[in-house]
Amino acid sequence: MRSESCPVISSNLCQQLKKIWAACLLPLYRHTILVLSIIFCGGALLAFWYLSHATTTLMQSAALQGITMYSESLSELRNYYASEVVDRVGSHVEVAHDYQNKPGAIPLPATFTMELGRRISLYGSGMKVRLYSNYPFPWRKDGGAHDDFERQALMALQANPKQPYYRFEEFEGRASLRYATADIMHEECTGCHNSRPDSPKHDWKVGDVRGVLEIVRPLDVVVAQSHADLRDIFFLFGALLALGLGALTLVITRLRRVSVELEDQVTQRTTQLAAANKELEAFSYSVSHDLRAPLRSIDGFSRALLDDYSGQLDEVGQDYLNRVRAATQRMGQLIDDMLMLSRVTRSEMKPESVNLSLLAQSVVDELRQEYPERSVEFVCMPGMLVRGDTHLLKIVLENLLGNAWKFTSKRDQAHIEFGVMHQIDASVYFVRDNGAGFDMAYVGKLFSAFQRLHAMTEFPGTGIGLATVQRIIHRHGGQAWAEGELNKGATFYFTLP
Amino acid sequence: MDKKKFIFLVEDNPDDEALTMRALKQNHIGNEVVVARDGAEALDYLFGKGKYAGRDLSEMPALILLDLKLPKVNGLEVLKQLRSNPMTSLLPVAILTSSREEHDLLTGYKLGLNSYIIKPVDFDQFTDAVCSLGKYWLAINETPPENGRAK
Repeated sequence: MRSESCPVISSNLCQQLKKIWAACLLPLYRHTILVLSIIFCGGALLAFWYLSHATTTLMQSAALQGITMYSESLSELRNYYASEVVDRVGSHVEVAHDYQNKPGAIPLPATFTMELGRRISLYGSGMKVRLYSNYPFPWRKDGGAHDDFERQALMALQANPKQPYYRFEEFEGRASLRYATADIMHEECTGCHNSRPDSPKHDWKVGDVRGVLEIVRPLDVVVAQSHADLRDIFFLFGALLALGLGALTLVITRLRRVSVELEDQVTQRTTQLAAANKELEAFSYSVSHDLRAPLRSIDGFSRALLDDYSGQLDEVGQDYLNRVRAATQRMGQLIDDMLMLSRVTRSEMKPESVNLSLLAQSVVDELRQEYPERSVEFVCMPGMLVRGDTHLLKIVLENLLGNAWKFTSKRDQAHIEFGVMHQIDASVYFVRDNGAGFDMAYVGKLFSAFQRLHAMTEFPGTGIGLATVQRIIHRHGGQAWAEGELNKGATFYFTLP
Repeated sequence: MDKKKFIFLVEDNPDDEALTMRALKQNHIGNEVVVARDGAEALDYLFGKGKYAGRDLSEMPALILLDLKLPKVNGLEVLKQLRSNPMTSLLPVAILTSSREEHDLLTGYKLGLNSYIIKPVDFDQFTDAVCSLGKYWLAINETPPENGRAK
């Protein structure tokens, strides 16, 4: 029981999953072009977004790198100026913020830096340099923090002097990078700063943050250029996408047309086939009706002759008439078998679960009733379940078991076996007997209609049974074959997918 | 046997007609047999039309043996017309044919057929079949009452 119920559950689950999967695929099949367009556009937008993001990041990191070098250069120049120029001239030369008004004076290091920055900004790149502090000299009008960035920069650099503070933001109406580094109090500076009477603070120590050196670099030109580039790429993407979708639509439309044409062809062929089938049906109908009628007359009137005129016929005459009757009846049987063969090919298949073991047992029971004098040992494997048409599979078993029954009729110990061998690619069912068997040299003729390997006097039959078996098995998508040895027995195999 | 209980044989093949008669005779079924050669003639006889106009319609066969493949009107069409007319709708009809077609069997029974016999080639089997048929419908089976038929 368990082995039967488990596959049922899993196959139900499988079918459910298949249904859900099919339901998911249905819109794709129905609106293939639409769905693919959406997927493509989504993918293209995603790629474009990523590209634009990457461009921005690249631009910012390039700007940052440039500004860092610039800031380091300025800072280094100022340090150099403070230590190698200001320090060395000592008290011989006046160092002042308003050096331009004093003959022979040189600028203070901070003034030197600011003046340098001012001159650089004149080049038109829009670059600006500013120095500001919480403790500006009183003569510096703009020495303190002006806006939010400068206040934040002062705070951040006080807390962490080694970490530059920067922001990408709008400055004076232009998209810019603002980069601030700490102006550290060096040893050569402390003396001067702590001793000058106009210094706002006299307790400077080495390493203190004196103020902030900020460089502002406008990026609007670069941003505009990158936007222009991105726009070009966007149009290129759009064009490629349109081209791709156009090609796809073309291909799918063509495929659809081909499938419609194929469907038309299938419909046409089906109609032709149905017509041919109809004709065949009409033919077999008339064969069944018209060919049998004269046979009935021949048999009937031969019988009437035998009954009514036996006195006028000698034994030979009567024997001839009996032969006429036997031949007629045989022809009737042939017609019936031929019709059965054609019906097996034409009849509609109703696939269902079939228990071959039970079916075989019922066939053998019928044979036992029909031939009570026979003693046959029948061994049948239980629980052979297959999927197929019950009526047609019964015909298969009737023929195979009927043959086994017939060809073991001359055995004292007749033995018939029905079972299955499970192989990797298929289950092979077999009917084995220890009857008359056959010569393997003629195995090719075995499944052809009206071919017989035994004389009528030996074993009766019309030679249609195995042809019928093969047609039914083929209709089920399986294979049928046989093995045998003369006077040893035969085994008939068939597979059902 | 009751002479009034007659058999109506619809058969176009004279050989089959002769064989049927012989089979009936051999089995001592002595009922009168009325023969029609095609479907149209059968309908004319049963409904009292054409050359059978004025026939006493109170006399109806106790059994109709109907071939399927008949000239003019085929057996199934004859059966259909019999079943749709209250005068003949309850008459026992047995189809006696060579055809084993499933379609004929199904249509026949759907139309209210009483019996479907396939004529065997073997005359002995044929005789047995005709004998059983005659005995069953003419002797064993009870037909519906006359007043029921007239409705």
